[in-house]
Amino acid sequence: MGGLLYELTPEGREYLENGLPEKRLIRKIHGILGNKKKVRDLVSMPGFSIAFSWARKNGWVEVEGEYVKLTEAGKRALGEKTEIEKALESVAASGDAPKEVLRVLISRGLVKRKAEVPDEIAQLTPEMIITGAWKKAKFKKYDVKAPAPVVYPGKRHPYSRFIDMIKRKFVAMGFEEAKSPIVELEFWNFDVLFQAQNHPAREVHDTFFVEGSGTIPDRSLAERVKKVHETGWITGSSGWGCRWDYRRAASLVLRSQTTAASARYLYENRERPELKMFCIDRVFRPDVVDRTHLIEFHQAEGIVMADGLNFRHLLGILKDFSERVVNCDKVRFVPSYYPFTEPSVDLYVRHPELGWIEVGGAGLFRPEVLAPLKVKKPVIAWGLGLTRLAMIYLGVSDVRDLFSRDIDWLRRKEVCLL
Amino acid sequence: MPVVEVDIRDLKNLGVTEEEAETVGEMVKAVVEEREGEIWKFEVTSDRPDMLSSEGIARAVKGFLGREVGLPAIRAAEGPELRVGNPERSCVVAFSVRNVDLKGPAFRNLIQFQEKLAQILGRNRREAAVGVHDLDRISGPVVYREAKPGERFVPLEMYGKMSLEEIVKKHPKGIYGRGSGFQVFEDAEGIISFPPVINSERTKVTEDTKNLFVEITGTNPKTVEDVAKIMISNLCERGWAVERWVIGGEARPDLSPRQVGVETAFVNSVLGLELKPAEISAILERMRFGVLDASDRISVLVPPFRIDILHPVDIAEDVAVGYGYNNMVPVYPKVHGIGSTLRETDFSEAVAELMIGLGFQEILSFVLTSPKNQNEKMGVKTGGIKILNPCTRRFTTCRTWVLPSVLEFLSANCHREYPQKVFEIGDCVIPGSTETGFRTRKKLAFAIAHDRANFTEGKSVVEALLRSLGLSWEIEEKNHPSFIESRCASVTVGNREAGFFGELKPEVLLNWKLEKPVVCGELDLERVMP
Repeated sequence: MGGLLYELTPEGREYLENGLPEKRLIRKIHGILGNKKKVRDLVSMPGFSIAFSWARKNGWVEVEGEYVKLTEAGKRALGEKTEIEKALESVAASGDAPKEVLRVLISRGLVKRKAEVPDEIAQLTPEMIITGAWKKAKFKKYDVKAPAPVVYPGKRHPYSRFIDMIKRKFVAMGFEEAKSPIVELEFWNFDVLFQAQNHPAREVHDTFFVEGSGTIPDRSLAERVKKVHETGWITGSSGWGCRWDYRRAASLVLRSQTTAASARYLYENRERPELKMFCIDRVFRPDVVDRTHLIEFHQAEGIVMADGLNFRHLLGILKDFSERVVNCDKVRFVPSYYPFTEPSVDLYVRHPELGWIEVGGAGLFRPEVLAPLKVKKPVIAWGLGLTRLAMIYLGVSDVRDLFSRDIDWLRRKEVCLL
Repeated sequence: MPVVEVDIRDLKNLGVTEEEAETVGEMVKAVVEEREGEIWKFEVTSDRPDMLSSEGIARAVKGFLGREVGLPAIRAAEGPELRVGNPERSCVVAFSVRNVDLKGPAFRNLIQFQEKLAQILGRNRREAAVGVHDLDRISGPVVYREAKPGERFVPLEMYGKMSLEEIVKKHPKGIYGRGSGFQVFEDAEGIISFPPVINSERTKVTEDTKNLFVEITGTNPKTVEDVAKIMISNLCERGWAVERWVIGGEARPDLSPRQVGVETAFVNSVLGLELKPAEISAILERMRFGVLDASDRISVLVPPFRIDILHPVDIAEDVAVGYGYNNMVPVYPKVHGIGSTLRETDFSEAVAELMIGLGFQEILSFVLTSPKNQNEKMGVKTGGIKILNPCTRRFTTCRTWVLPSVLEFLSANCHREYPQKVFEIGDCVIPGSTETGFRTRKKLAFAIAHDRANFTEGKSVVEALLRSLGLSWEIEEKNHPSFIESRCASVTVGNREAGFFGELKPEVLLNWKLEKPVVCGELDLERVMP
């Protein structure tokens, strides 16, 4: 019966613990004078009829008138284990017993078939492990090449993982993180950064304007910014030469550049001897959304403030950053323009497959930016467009896929390392 | 950055080879972006509107190569008088150009140049607009004056006369005339220009035009003069003779170079170099500045087209450009700093980790959204910001809660395999007592969707999260219009409601075209951050 397993029924277990009823019967008769007892005195014993019929069948007792009398075989049986008893023990221990006895045990309802143990085990079960049934069976051979069901782990969104990795790089390079609000005053987004109030970037096709207006709590800062715009103030600059309007500066926009965070951070920390800050956040700019344009996208921004910083230090930071973060062997610096930095530079890096790509812009903050903020040391600032880098690393050709709404893509997308 | 199309043959005529245009252009702020046959697209940085034409690019390239150095010859004689009435667009400059040769690429170059100047420097013609005419088709004295209602002329590319009002309404360029008063240039025969909208067909410039009349009008006197200075400077580059018309007894603009004093030590400290005054002077001359005195304090003469020079630091940049950015040796600055992320960032990461442990997929959505998604589909009213110039109806506000973003995601995936378990941690913009009246707030939203998703499953998730964050919390029944009554609960942490979760109402599910039960919720991360 290879493979099949048996177990005791409650009755079988009871008999194993307290003895078979036929054994109990003969024990009751044994030792009484003449080794016989009146039937009338025995019938009250539980299970008498079963006990009596089996004892008689075994030839342990015979009937003498109104007496039940123990036979010689019955006397012998008292001192030894019957096949039935042995089989009960065997079933309890290993789930199996010799076939003949097993049949009797089953017919008496003392044992039943347990779990099916096939000739070959497909699925190992706890019972098999406990009962030892596994010892008798063979494990079914698996085709290790057969397809397994597809399961999806819970995981980070690939783009947010990428952003976290970039953050970690900044941290490793000793930069501390800063942030600024999404709804921002034009003041911090533009004016402090010496972007003239008639600068094209401040028009409706480059900036999202928000209903309502705010206040600039630091009036003396506002006054300094006004002077630097109008006349250059004490900086030696000519300024923009046009009237600076407080109300315009107090208008609300959606942050259009993370440089707003740098400006706020610089002002708060202007007294520190030196600092290294970074910010990775979303910026918002009107555009036509297509394969290469989003109206909401991430920028990374870093600044370093310290005595004696110069343009070569800026190039040093950019080069180092390209090597560590972008893993590029070659960089190229191209003169550029940003209203808040001078000199300004754009950074191109050589990608092994894509060739030269532009990854960001940088510069030294202009005196017209630093003086009103009361920052007395040179400040290096650079910004990276993260979407382009993310697209390269995630193998995405449509920028909209960075914010993919396709759960299948997310489920299947492999983890990307920088 | 502005892009200008240049015919490479024109650059060759001006003494620049293809290779020089490609390699040197990039070093002087005019990067070749694209080439289509003879037409090259240059991206020019916005501080250098003087390079929005072939002449400007050629001048810079030749200077950089040392072929032509020092101040360019920019001269203009005194021309006839322009009488000015009382136009609302009161700033005006005019000049004529004699013996021009507009055959071939020069014509297109000129037309594009004046358009780009008016668009970029002139702020879309508002601050300054340019009109270029055939001088030989103008007869008698020219007047610039306010227009009278109903005045008519034949505008460019039209066959019949139109009134100014009609032009503004019907002409493709009419848009530039909206929102301000009307003014015209007029000669003995009638109107020749309706700035900033359109010129007359009569004075149209062609490749055969020999003499030009150029008028620049606007609302910002400095911008008008800057546009004039740049145009005249570049036209002089071709050797053409310019005459500045006299307005109010004065021939403008002033084309004399500005003198700026720059300390050698300042330049070196900005650039990290040790250049001698003579070296700086030589570089500046290649950048087409004039140098009067090469000493520790260099007297620099700034040509009229360099309107970007505001501060000595701008001259320092030109020294760096002339030196060559890629010739400078980068130095990594030794600045001490201990790197750190914001507590908010660390906390968000910890929450994301827990959600992932609970089997959720992270998603990423836009902060920009619409009231339809934020309110209508959810059956709620939340006060979000209003964007005054949205570019599509899909994005007119910022989200105040993240849950609608998550449901939008489920909605986009209703034909994908279930169960779906997703979460997002993202910024929201909510009213607050700040200098703008709004605050940026990080919130977590999650959703579970499958045939048997229910409140209990959501509660297990919320409680697992809160327990793992080491918080104690209260769950109370909550009425929320998005959720089935009695199957929504608030989560209170430290006596403040930190969030809520529950089973979405079928009508909300149907608003999102969802046909599976969804249990979902939202937590304000600031309120659960230990």
